[in-house]
Amino acid sequence: MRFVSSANIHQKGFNVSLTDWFGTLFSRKLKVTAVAPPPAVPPKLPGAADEIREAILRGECPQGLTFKNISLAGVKTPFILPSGLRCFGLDLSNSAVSAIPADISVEFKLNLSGCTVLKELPSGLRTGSLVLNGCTSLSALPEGLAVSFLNLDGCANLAHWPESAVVEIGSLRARGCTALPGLPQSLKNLTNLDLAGCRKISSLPDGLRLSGWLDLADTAIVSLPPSLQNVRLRWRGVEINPQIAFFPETLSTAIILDEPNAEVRRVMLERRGLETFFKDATATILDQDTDAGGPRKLLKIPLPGDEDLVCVSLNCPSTGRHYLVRVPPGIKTCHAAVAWTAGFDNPNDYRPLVET
Amino acid sequence: MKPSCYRQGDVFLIPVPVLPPMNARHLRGSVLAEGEVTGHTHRFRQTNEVEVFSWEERLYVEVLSEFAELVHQEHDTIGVPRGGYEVRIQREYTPKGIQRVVD
Repeated sequence: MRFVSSANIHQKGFNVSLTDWFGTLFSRKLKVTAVAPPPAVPPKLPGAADEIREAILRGECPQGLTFKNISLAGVKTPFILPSGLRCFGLDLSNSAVSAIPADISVEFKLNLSGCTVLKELPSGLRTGSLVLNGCTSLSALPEGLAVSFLNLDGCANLAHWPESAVVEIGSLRARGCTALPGLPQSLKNLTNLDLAGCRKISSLPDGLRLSGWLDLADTAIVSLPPSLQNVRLRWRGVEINPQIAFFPETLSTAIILDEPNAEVRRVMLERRGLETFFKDATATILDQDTDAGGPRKLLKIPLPGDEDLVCVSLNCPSTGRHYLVRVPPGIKTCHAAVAWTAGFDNPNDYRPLVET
Repeated sequence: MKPSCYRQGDVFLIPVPVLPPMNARHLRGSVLAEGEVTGHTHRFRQTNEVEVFSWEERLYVEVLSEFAELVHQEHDTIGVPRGGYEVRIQREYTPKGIQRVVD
């Protein structure tokens, strides 16, 4: 963790540029593929997006409508999208939409985030970016799906991915798709692949290539196909090496303690197992109590020819993850240890009001 | 007895009676810290509710509204009341010296 500086803040500008690039990419490479051809004479359009929205909600929107961006985000009353709708971006996030017309055409981005009553999508759906995170009623992807970016985070009931449904060029996120048994062999080229929490997935398609990274935290993957041998690996966002991912039993106490990055060390400990780590290191418990994250311990590991290694072992109140932070060897209590990590040399000065 | 502090992950907000002088360097935005590996940030949701300063290699923040929400991608949000705070990042001990926790 580091303080933010002016240089860091300027990274936000970079993100804006990426967004511009993203739009450019799709305007060049992903032309509209309409199931139904556009009408020869487009219907007269209302003057503003708000009027379009209201017309759709009243069920009075003309068929074959063409518009740039339409938002029905957060609409909780049931509504039906007009047939032949064509637009650049369509935001239906957190709405009560239950069906998507078969002849819809969304060029850039279709956002269905949090549409918990949506059970299926139309066959042949094509768009640039498809956001389906939190669509908990969705059990299958449609035949013939073609997208470049796909977000399936939290689609806990998604269990079927047909071979004809393809993601290409961009990223695929599928965090927490706990019912998904695997990915189709038709996946060939992606930037990033995030499968954290996909417990049923034990293998990846042979021939799949990633130009970015693969996040395989809490999957059943124990090896990679030849096409992914050199891919960068992540564990819930933390970059790790193949030893941590596939050979955690070889992570010795010395290797773990020598790791300078706290997040990487946390993953190492998680992979190795705290109990095993301290068992191997024959740690003694100097103190134990409870804080907002649960039980915590102050542990000492004697190091031959060196000062004792004293660590406080605690859990994050928000994520429940274990953390191990080294403190000066003279510290005797958990509270004093955590106070010291916050910069308080006098433990009585440390009284956290809120911890998350 | 010093006043209570707020902790979000490895970031601590310690109330201070006096903020840095006017010539302290003002930082744009509302980000207090970001993970080098994860890219996650500790930041205030509304930029216009806070002012962030850098003074003598320490970071400070002044909450201008009644409460400002400190948010993070993984940690629960904290409502921080109006006032001045020193921002500290969790430190850890190494035989070679004290260092900030790196993530």
